Amino acid sequence: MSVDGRLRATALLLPMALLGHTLQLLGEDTPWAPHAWARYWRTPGWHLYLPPWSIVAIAVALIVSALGLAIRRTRPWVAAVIVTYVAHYLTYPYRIRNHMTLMLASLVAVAIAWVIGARLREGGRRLIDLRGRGAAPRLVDRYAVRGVAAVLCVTYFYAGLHKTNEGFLAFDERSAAFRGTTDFWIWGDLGSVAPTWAIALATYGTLVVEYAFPIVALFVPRLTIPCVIGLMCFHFPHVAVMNVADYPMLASAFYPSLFTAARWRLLERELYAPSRWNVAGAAIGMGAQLWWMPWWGELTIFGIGVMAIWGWWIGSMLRLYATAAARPKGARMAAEVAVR
Amino acid sequence: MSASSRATTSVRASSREAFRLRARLALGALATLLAINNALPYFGLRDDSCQAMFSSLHWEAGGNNHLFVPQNMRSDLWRGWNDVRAEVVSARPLDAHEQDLLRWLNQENRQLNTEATRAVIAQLCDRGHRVKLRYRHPDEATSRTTGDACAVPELSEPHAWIPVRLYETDGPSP
Repeated sequence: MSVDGRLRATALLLPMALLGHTLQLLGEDTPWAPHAWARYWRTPGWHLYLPPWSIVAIAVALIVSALGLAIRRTRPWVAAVIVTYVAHYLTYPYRIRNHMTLMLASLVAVAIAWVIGARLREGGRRLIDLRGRGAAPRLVDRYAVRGVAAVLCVTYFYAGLHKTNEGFLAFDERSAAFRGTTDFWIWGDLGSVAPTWAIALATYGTLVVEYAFPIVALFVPRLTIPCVIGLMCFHFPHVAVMNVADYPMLASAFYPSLFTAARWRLLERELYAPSRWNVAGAAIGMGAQLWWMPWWGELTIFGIGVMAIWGWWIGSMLRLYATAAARPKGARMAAEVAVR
Repeated sequence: MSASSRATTSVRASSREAFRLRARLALGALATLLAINNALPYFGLRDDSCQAMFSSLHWEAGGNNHLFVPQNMRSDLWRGWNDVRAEVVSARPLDAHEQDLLRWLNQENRQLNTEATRAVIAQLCDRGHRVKLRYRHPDEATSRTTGDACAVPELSEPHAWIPVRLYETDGPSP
């Protein structure tokens, strides 16, 4: 698939992200319902210039591509997902969700690097071909990963920017932080009213996380792991009680791009080998979702899977820290220098 | 170093440098486009998919509730028509699809997004009908009427370059 482990990890997580996308669209837009058909025709967009069967065909092609990628993680399947997703986005006949533009921009970033790499030659060989071979596959994929990281930073920054308003900072029903924290408190059996400190933490914490964490994770490698854990903790209430597990899952599919290649190589060893840490993390993640989820719905059930993945991931990251902390100090410093 | 190996090294450096330059430019352009897309709510150009989920951000023609970003409406894409009443003048009876479109135009107490209204009227016009329309601009007290909405681009010509929905198609009348 790629010589770059971060891109391999993203390809591994993409089918799960696309499952969340599908569940949300099917669950909310219910395209089989009669009112959805009426809505199709009164929604402006390019789908009105195309026969309806072609819109369905594009959606089916995307699902097939995602399944193909889930079964065989190869570049042609990633390319198929990119092409079909772009077509799907541009012809989707209902509301374009926030996660859809993040997904579109991230996939286009990968496509841009791959296309530029495929058009340049070195000694008669392309820099990269559709099989991931070529004169400089590592260079090309590094830029693809950088592009994805830039998309993540811009996306989260704007999420924070939009929330810097009187409504979000109001500490009352107008604020999603207030409502979300209250729901989190109630469904977690923590009490019937969220304490002020929790609402303040959710309100100002949201701004700090969205403005800063992806950027700090990207530019301060020493803080990448704490920031990624922070992002996952920040998103947990969204997955657990706000019924929007699709967006956090989709965003997290691109979190590997926030790591340096060297740090990801270290983490990869932990991620792909079961340990007490990551198995316990997955169990805690699933347990937390089961404890908090307010009802059995398609996205809350999906959230169990999301929390299992994140728990595994967090457990692996913590084990990396624990292993490093257990080393003698001199070896720790040598390891730190090695991953810079 | 021989002349041929120097040449090989030079080719390698030049193609990789070309890649770096082009990738930086293209990815920079992508990030800029994404930033512009996400800023569209402040210009009245888009509400869907600008990362404003759960933001409690509210905007209107005169301003918004943001602490420091001003509101500067640049189009009517965000607007809605009030008190819309449509009548189709046609030589033949309307089919089910056309009746659906007409029913949507004639909803009680709904504000219809301008672009969605254009998309719907354009479909009726494309099918050879004439649409008589009464509608009220949100900033005006009295309604406007037209005997042939198909002849008024503001009412019947959706922006063909916009690929997807930008705003909710309709909402409660204010």
